Amino acid sequence: MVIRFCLVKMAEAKGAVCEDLDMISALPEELLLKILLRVPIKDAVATMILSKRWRFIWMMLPRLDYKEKRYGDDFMNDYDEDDDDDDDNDDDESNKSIWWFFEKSMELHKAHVLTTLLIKLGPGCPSDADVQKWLKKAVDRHVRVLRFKLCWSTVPTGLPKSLYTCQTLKELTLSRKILVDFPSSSCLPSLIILELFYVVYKEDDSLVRLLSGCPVLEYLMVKRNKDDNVTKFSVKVPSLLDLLYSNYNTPDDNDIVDTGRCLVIDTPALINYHIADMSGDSCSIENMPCLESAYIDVESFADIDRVLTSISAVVSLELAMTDVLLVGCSNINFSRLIKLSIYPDMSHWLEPLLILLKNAPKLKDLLVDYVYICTEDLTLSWDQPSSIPRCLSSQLEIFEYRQYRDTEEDEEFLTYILANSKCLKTVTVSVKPSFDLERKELIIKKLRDIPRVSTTSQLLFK
Amino acid sequence: MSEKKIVLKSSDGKTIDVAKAVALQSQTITHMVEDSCVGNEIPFENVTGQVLAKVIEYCKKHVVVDGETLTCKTVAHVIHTRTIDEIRTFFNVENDYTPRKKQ
Repeated sequence: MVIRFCLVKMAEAKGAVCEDLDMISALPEELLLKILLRVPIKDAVATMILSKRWRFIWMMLPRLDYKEKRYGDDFMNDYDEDDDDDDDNDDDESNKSIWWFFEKSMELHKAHVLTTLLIKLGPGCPSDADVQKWLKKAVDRHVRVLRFKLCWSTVPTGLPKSLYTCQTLKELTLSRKILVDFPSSSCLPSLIILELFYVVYKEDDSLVRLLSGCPVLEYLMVKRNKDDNVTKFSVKVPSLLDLLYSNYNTPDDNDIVDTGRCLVIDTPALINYHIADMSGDSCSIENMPCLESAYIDVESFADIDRVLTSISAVVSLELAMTDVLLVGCSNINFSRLIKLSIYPDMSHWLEPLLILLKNAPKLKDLLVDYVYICTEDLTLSWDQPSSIPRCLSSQLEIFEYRQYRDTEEDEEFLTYILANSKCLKTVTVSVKPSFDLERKELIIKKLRDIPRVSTTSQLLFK
Repeated sequence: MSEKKIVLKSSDGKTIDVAKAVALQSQTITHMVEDSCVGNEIPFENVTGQVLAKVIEYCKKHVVVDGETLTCKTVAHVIHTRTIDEIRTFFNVENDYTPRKKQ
């Protein structure tokens, strides 16, 4: 058999002598570890009973990945976190949490260096589980990548003190029932990537102290929980290059209007940010001279001018267009802008958009997505501008229209773009998903007939 | 003449015999094989014998590593999808644990 032949050859190449017929046990430990790294943790640990030779092999694994079995619905998934389905092949021998397996195996694990530890503990995790003990062990074993998600039913857990000064940690993800309480002595000198998903903070300063202790932090991703004890969420990180912040907690009707809650961003080296904030918290953005791309979907700004200044030199911009932003954008010269995606959130956005286009002389790629507009009968009357925006006549190559509603106004706008974009290469239209196939066919037919000034352009449908 | 071997000729006249599979690990060699259709001999006018020898050495190691990755993946698959007993049978692993005395 091919595999057996290969195994023998491999073992011989490494100097092993295969006297007996055992194909794999004779392989050097380094190779066996490579094999076990590709196997789910439970199977890797199970190999310890194959034979005496195998007893201690898995204990030297540098990477341990524990994930909870599914419980039927989606709560274990946070939107952007990856979840692989490897362990769904297990039969449901028990709905027991992975906790006990995690605890026992961490106890046995021997490798001097544990570079990666990934843990997800679901609601079945007992409230007296000593999670801190194992986090501490990871720190003691020079962990570099630590991702910890805890969904137990009791109060958020604190973290072991040694984690606050872990010299080796490069990537840290904390998710759900975790209390972030970093002292002023915190120092994570190697931390480059930090993710805080729906965690709870002791107070505003806990976050400030954490971030101050990360001198080389480059990537920060935050997903806010509704009541996380932070009033002023302050991101002040001189080394930060990428910031992704989302707060989808909309205020309740009976919330106090002016809570004083705000988001403050002071990251002078930032290259890219993605901010989505539905909470109504006021957002304040300091200058970012290196900014290349931005995604903004925010309801309330402390100082709109500062925000606009921060995005004026970007190359790529994605905007949920609210009144406030639109009015502001009409005064900005987007001298470097090449790619623009807009998600109109209001009526009467066409005229301001055209003003924006006038201010974006280098624009090559335009996307309009109607995802936020629900009402079918939103009437958008617009007057065609007196002069055609320069980017249309000399630059625009790619145009995409999502959630096309097949109204008169939509068609007018599309016709305008097609009639005036001399350099257009591709036009992509995706029709509203609620339309049936027949209607889609009709729309496609109609759109194909619209005259296009750029005869080489392609019209695509998604 | 075997189709599975290629002869590489360096700028200073040295020739190296190489199995086709090994030589094709190098993109450069692959392109040259495709371009020059002169029998099985590929001339490298800009490469000395010494450099050529090093390149071939690398290619040989590369092939072995690829084989290693493939085998690792396959063994891992077996371990993941089978019971302990099945794994033992598949690879002929002898269970040398002494059974616990029944109490």
